[in-house]
Amino acid sequence: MDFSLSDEQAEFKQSTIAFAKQALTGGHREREAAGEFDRSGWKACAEFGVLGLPMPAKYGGLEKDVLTCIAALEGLGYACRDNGLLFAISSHIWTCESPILRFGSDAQKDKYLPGLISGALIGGHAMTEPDAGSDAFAMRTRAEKKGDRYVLTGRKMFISNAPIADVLIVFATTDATLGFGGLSAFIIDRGTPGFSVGKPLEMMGLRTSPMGEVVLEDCEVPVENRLGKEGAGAAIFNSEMEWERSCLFAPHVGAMARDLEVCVAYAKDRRQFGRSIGSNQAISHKIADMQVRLELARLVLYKVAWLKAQGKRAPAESAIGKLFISESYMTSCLDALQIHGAYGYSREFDFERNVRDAIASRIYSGTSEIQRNIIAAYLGLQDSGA
Amino acid sequence: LIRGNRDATRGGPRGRREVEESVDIASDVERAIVTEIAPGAGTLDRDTNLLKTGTIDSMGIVKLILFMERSFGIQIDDEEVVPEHFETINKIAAFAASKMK
Repeated sequence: MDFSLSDEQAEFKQSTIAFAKQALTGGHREREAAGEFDRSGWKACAEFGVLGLPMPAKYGGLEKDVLTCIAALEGLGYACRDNGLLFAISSHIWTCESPILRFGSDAQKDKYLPGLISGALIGGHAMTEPDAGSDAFAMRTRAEKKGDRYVLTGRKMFISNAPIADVLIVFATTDATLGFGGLSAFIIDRGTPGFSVGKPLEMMGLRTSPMGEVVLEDCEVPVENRLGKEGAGAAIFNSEMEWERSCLFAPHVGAMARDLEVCVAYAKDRRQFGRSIGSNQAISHKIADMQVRLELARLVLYKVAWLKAQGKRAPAESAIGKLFISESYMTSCLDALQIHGAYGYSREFDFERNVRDAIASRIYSGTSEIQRNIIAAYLGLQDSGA
Repeated sequence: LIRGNRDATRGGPRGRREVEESVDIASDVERAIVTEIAPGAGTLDRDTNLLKTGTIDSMGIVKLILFMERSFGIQIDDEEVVPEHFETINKIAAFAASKMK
């Protein structure tokens, strides 16, 4: 196995970093305080090609291979401090664009992908419900077929991008007797009668990535808006999750690399008791551990990307990657805050915000506990919790 | 659950051989379900609806697909993961057999 980047991949990663440093800096603290989404940053990312990184050129995408996408997203995480913007972009790519590309009809791809890739449309998906979080397949939202239409009724909760989305992939039960096999997916446009979105939810972190509730009240959608076959919802969701767990965490690895550099520089520069704080093992060992976590997080990220690039299924491997990267990111963010002491705790700097943002990574895309359930299930130890 | 690729054992006249193969596949699928995918499910009728009875859950379907791909040397596309292919052991076996052709 060789996970090293080719010259071309490394060069593209560097160009992504240069782009982010030039176009995505500044204003993130103010937007975070206001809970504001960065539309100009979104537009800049679209123009650079970020929104269409893995998408076919015929729809306007850059058609990059999986490893190049990962490397570019890692570069974005390194250079862009607006974690919410990167989360919104990742959700858009992996939970909306990607399933439409994989499961959509030609007509659906032609209708939605160009706009999603150009940034004219913002996308997401709606799976979680007030009473169906980790137990996602226990959803109550129903889609009843009536002639050439489906009528959807239900509520979705904690939906990433919902307040700003133009299109959402909504999961609903079409046959309650079949359990997870009775689930189907529908592409629903903002403005469809019966479809409404609540105000952005006040969350602890990722505050620049709007999240909201979706309400479906006798929401009629034509049959041609169903994504994939009836009953394919679980397969679509599982596929989405595997891609998301494999790729969405790449920016975190980039952020870990940046924070490590910041901490090394600070530990050398900051002097207490007549010497740099980095000469104290209490500090240097923390930083050494940050380096270990970064290296291993990057390794597992690239391994999963390598598996996906070969067209292989990686349900357990993506769960391991998601679990390790999110937990490592969280721990390293806490270490970075601690190393910076009161400055780390101050809202004048990014460390406390990074901690609040990082906590979310242990929850979205399946909690750390669910990832452990999946890993344990593949060891033959338990059977539920995907 | 990881076994060799069955493709190497295939060939020869069709008809009876295909029926035997499908039965054989059904046995393998049944064994995998009751021992690894849904342990405790007990003896299963090959026409029992595994989805309606909850024998196979969302985790189980992914494990079943991995088992089928590794054991039968087939590749199952995500869009093929629909109830009509996975409702019963007989349907699973027939689907696997069709992919092996």
